[in-house]
Amino acid sequence: MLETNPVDAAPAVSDMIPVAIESSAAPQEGADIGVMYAEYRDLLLHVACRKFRVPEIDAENLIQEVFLGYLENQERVENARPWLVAAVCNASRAYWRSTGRTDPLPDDILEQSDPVSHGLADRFAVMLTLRQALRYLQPRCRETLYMHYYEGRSAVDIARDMDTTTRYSEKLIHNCLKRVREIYFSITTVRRR
Amino acid sequence: MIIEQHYDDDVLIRLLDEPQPADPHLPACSSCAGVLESYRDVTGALQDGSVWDERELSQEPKPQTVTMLQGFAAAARAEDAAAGPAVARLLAGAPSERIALLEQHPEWRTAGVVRKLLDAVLKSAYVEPKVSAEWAALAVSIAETLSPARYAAEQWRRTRASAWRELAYALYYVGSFAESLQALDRADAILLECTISEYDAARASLVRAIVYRDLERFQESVLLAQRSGKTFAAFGDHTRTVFAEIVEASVLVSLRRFNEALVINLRVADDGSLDAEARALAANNSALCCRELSRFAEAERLYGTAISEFERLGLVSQVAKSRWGLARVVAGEGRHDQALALFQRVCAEFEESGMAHDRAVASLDASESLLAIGRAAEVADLCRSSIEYFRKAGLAYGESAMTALAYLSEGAEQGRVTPKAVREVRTFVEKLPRNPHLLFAYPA
Repeated sequence: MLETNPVDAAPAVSDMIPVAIESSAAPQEGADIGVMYAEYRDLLLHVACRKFRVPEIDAENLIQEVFLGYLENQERVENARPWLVAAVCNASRAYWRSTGRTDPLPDDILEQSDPVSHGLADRFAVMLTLRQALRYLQPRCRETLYMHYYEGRSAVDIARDMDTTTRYSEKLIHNCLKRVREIYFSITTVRRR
Repeated sequence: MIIEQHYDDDVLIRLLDEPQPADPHLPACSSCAGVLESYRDVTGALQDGSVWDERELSQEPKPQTVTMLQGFAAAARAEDAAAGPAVARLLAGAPSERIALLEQHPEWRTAGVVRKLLDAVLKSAYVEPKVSAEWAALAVSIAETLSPARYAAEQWRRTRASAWRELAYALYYVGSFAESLQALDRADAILLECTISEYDAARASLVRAIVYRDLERFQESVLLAQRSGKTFAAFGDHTRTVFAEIVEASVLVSLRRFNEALVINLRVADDGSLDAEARALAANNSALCCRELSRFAEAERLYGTAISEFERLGLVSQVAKSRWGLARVVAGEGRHDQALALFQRVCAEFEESGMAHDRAVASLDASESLLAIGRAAEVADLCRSSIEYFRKAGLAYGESAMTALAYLSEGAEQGRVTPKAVREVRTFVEKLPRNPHLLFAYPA
């Protein structure tokens, strides 16, 4: 059937200027890829292996793929770190999809790292540094923080477990948290105060 | 305990348990707020299993990976350097000569040549859209004959997907929407086979969003634009995140949700990280939203900003578009004498830029102002000049436009043209580029 005059009033937007969704700006000069690999490898390995539980031997291959993808887009990538981190998340999810038929998936694979979260790279960098900081803590401190923040146990519960008072376990949680934050900042050398 | 008017760490740690501390000191003290924030970062990270993962990972970068990546980068640079002269020769020739050249030079079938062609496509898209579409088709034909043995599988796939995406964009630009969607389907199918595809898939989705918008599939278009924007944000690509927002705003305008579109456009217009053209464009589209919301003074100010920026940048057709918007504001305020002068200037500018369709629609706006000030007889002249211009322009939908304009012209000659009739014809002509087969039915 032939269409004739539109019945509804068309939006009066002829004078709207359409956006150019691809920038024709000159590409940027790329950084040395070897230097970038050395700078970001630890972070990307941490994300792939510890967040997505990709075996280390396969994670190294994924990181190679990520850098190859980066090289193809390098000239127009605005910010390398978030691009690389988002790409390794993408690659890790694809890894589990492709091997899912033969290998058991981690129980919480679907909860791993929302791909659209803002500041993902920053959060992973904090985690990587904090993991280092925890290694410098006394075992008792590590255990306390683990029970309280990771297992979600209350100060009362921890006091019972340690056979001490609630007041003391609260103090311990505070002191251990202060200490790990100090170590964290001594590693990053960035202090807020 | 409070030390030097700041909270000590124990107080701040206790505040962590409150979701939104209603403490009067914190909003006023950036120091304490900063420490509290850093404790939030640390405790948030302590709740993540990866922090407690005992496994040690190798610390040393793999030398073989460095060698491989540097080799890849060097090969791509060499390929790009060789592609420059090849692409220059290909683009200098006529389409038929290009095929012959490629047959003579099979060594030109490289990813580097595809990349250089796509750069050229991008640069010419807004200047010579038809030529740009031809070049994009050439890039696809080369990409599809790249040897998979010569490239890493991912690179081979992504190069082909990029070529199809740029072809889709070029086809969209010349109004070939169905073909554009077919090209996007091809790009998406290739990307499904890639390990790392989310970023490229988001770029293809944003192209699909604008095609859907123009096909009036607004809800799908908004969703695609929003989803693409989120992916770009995750990849730290601020510029493309903003592009996605602008596309979303343009769909909201089409849906007449001007308040929501205005919020986005004003934010973009104020974003100092963007280039001047993108900000001027957002100022223009903010002005349009204000006009449709009858906020005429703001609209006039914003159009003024857009016009002066576009003039400074030498973007002639954009200046005409913004001036057209300004003329409609002035007409909306009932200042038809001034509006008419602006519409006439805009028509002349569109004519100089070869923008037949915009010229016709702007001349209909001028007709409405003529009627408002009692100069109905001049409407016929205006319509005749538009008909003549359409005839010369040779547009696919020109016949339908000319029929509608002739109806108006005859009405004006017989002294029975009304603002309602002008608006009906305007609505019809405005829709023609998207619906070129639409037929004009004479109103009863």
